[in-house]
Amino acid sequence: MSFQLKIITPARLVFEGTVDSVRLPGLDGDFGVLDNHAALISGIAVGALQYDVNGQRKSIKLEGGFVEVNDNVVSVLADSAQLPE
Amino acid sequence: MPSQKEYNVKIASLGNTAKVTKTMNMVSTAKYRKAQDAQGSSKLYSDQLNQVIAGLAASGGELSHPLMKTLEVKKVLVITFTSDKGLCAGFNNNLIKFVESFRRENADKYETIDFITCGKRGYNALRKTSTVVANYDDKTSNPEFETAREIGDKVQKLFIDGEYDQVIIANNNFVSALSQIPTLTTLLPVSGAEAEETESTDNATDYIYEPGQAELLSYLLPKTVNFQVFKAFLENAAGEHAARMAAMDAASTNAKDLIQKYTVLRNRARQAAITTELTEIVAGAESLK
Repeated sequence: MSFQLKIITPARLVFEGTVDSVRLPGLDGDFGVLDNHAALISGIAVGALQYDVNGQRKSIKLEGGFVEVNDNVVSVLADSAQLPE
Repeated sequence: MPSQKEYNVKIASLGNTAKVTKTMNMVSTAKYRKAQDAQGSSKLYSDQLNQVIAGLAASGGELSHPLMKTLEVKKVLVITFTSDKGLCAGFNNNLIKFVESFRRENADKYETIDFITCGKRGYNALRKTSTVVANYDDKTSNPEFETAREIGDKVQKLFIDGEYDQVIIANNNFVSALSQIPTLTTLLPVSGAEAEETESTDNATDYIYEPGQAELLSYLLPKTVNFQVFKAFLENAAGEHAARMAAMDAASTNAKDLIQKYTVLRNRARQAAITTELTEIVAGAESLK
């Protein structure tokens, strides 16, 4: 029931790991992704990405970018990303 | 013939120089590794970006965007990448010469050729002969995406406003640690051919596009452009540190050779002094007899 999440900025790989669900700030509004999601390419606005691992919610601030969902791999390409303190 | 003392001073000063160049070599080595790591991580991003573009291109449909518009080229903007500091052999000079010859050769062809310079060296050389629209100092040694985005946004605006018909990147292409070759790459207009090239990786996946393909493209293209600027920054940084590493290594070897040469000369001078003194003593003793 989980899938791969990757968050990449031009400068570095910010996050890579297995998550249960992820919520993204899409250009047309927030949307959630669970496992076995259909292949999708979407723009991402400035906002917070939230993901759940083992019932724990974590959030990462993104500054615009894209997301590609394909074959249970969610790749987020952001201009910059900030991990929580 | 210089005296022993003069040689000693010379050798000591050479020793100090060798110390400095050796330290600089080590610093550059560390910075070079860091720049290489940055290049490695940027590859992750570019691979993914290419995949997305490939997906978009493969999905068919006419791709058109103001940034892809090919115009009759009259006004050209060149973005040059050099380092801020010297002591890196021909790294900057090669690029400046290359850019200058491009400017001279095409002076008749185009109405204007203006520059945006990244790095002090390029700015100081180019401002004498041409118009420098903007200069970015202290950014090239340790590139940040923020700077690349700023430049990218700026040139895109200039291009769309019709201030320039073509934007070219001039940087040292990082071939290996020992070889950097000055190259020109067209940044704008974005060529459709690039999208086709990446199509080779095409996967027949049927993507959902959110928002529509056209909107997505107009959102994606500026980002590709900014990323290309960033990539040029990274290549320049890796090249700069590699070039300095090599230059400082050569300088350290030269200093060591010179120290050896002067040590031999000093010993010879010392021996000559001893011989002279002995001869004088012997001559003095002879005359007393």
